[in-house]
Amino acid sequence: MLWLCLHFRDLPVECFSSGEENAQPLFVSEAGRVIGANRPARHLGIRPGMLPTAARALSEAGLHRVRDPHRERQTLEHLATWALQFTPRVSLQPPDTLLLEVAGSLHYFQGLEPLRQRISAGLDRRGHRAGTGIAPTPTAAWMLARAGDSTPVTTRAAVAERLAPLPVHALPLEKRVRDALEGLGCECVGAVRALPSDGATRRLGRPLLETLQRAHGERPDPRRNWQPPGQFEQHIDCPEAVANVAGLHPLTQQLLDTLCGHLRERDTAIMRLWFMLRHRDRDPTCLPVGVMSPTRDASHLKWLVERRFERLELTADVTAVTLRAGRFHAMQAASGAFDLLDRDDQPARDANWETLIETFDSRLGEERVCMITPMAEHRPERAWAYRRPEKADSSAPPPCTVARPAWLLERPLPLRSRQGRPQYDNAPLVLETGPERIETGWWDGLDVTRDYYHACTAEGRRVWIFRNRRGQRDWYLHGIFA
Amino acid sequence: MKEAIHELLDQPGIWRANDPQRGGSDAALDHIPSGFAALDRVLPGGGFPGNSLTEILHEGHGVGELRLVMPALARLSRSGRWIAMIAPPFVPYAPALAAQGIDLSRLLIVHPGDQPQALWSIEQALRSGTCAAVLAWPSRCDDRSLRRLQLAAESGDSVALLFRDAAAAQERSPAALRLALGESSGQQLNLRVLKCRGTPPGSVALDSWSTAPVRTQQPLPLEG
Repeated sequence: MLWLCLHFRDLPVECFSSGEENAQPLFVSEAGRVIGANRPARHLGIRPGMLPTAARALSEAGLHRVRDPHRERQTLEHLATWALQFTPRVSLQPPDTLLLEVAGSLHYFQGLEPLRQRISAGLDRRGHRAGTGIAPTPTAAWMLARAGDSTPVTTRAAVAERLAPLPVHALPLEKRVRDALEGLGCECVGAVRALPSDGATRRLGRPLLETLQRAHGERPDPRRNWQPPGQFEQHIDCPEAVANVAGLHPLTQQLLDTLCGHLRERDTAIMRLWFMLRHRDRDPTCLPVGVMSPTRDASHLKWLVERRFERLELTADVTAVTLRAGRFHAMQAASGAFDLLDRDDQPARDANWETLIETFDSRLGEERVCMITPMAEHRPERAWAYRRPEKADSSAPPPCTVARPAWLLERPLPLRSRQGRPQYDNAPLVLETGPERIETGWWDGLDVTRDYYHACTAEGRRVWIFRNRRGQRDWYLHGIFA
Repeated sequence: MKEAIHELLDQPGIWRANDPQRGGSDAALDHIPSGFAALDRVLPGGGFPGNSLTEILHEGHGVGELRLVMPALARLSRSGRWIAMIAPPFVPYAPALAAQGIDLSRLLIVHPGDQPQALWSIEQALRSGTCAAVLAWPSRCDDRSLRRLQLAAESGDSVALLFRDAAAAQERSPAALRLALGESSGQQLNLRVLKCRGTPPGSVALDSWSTAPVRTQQPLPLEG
């Protein structure tokens, strides 16, 4: 086993910022003292231990937040969910630490160093800094991370040697015990380990011995795996109201990264997701995004979401962004990339087709892209229907006995008539064939009694017209033989 | 001397404008037969030029603009790729299209909101490489956008069929083929080839045009 420990020292501050580089100065206070500040605030000279009033004097525009343990916990949970993309075994160590068991992931990520770089690049993007510790036992990794020693320990034999020089306060023990150890003259972990174990246990309690044994791999050290919630919904408050679409970009990217990490861990995929943009005094804006086949590909989703946001016009400032994922679907293995028999490039083509429809959907809106299908019905209005694009088996042409026009008017257009002859674009129509009688439909409110004719103008424009048999015997244009 | 010329002419790099059998480059060999023998005889390569732009200019609807491309579309729709209709002026009537042999499970209809969206959609559909043919009814289209569409059709290996008003015949166009539909009379449709790569402009009359049997015209029923 190899444990990678991430210690988020600045979590109280980082949980308030959204990962932007050039953020506003921000400092967090607890019990009347500043306990942390982000980089711009530190540049202005704000230091932990200051009075909030003094900090505010240094930075007028700076944001002041009171420490929020609930929010820290939430952020840590988000980070745990995100970390699931690296290993299925992530353990939450509140208030500010994550433990990742990475031995099983090394092969996939081509070694420890690439994995570490990937993790740290990901954290950078999300605006977090973490102390890293790597060791064969979780407690040792935890201690190394606390002590800021990021050189990995990969063998159990080397653990004792590496832990020995660490200061006593790096031990995960109560402050009382640590103080007592320092009182005994132990300054480093090596000195504590050298104490006679029965005497130390009697004076300082069992946890001391157990912790040391766990750290050195002499005692089992089970950790509970983090289980992300089954439904995915995540929320980010904007540090300040966002007025333009470009400002939302980092937030949506971050949410999608988290979502895809979540999906990978559960080995599942989604077909729909929704972005909810919350405004201060208005109903939230809802932006649905859909794909044609289940996916968890972050770059694909990001691309689609970007297209979707392109045609968004913000009417009010956005204060928070929520990403909600739809039902989870089983991931279908993509086999298109490699085909031993090299039969056809059909899967690749299908994938392209899906991409095309997703592109249309996200830019034009879903209702604007459709397919048509014939219905078993005698009235022309009901003999066809739009449907959502989806793959279907090729349809055999229905046995068609009568000629029908290729264009149908959505609703029949009344035709003017002169001397009893219908006119189309001011040209008199000559009836060619007919009548074909289409009748009834009392059961669904569209009761028709019509005589249909094929008609033609002098220039050879051919149309499909009808005349009502009941009531006003007007002529209507219903189709065009284009 | 004559042999030398024949030898020269057999070089694949030589393109002869008036040779309908040999077409030009390899890309131009990829033609889609229109299904109308008279038209295929006139067009070099024997059909609509593949992966390029074809304009069909017609005055008003109902002169046979769709019937002209139906046989080609029916075959393309069963080739494993898709057909896209972008901004159709009316509802494409499913039973009629199916009866003409179009595989409706391969037909995509797009209703873009406005003109820029329509051009964008046409370009996307052409470029994607999944559409064998893209039929489009753009309301306006200038030389520059046509050029873009032509390039998109080339890169996506797709046939672009643009249906435009007859007035557009006056404008310049980079299309590989421009056909203008004339008045049809009875069994005949008169087509003018305004522009075609590899062949001079001319006109064709398509026979057995009308699908409806010509009967004796019935007298109109009296009002009442």
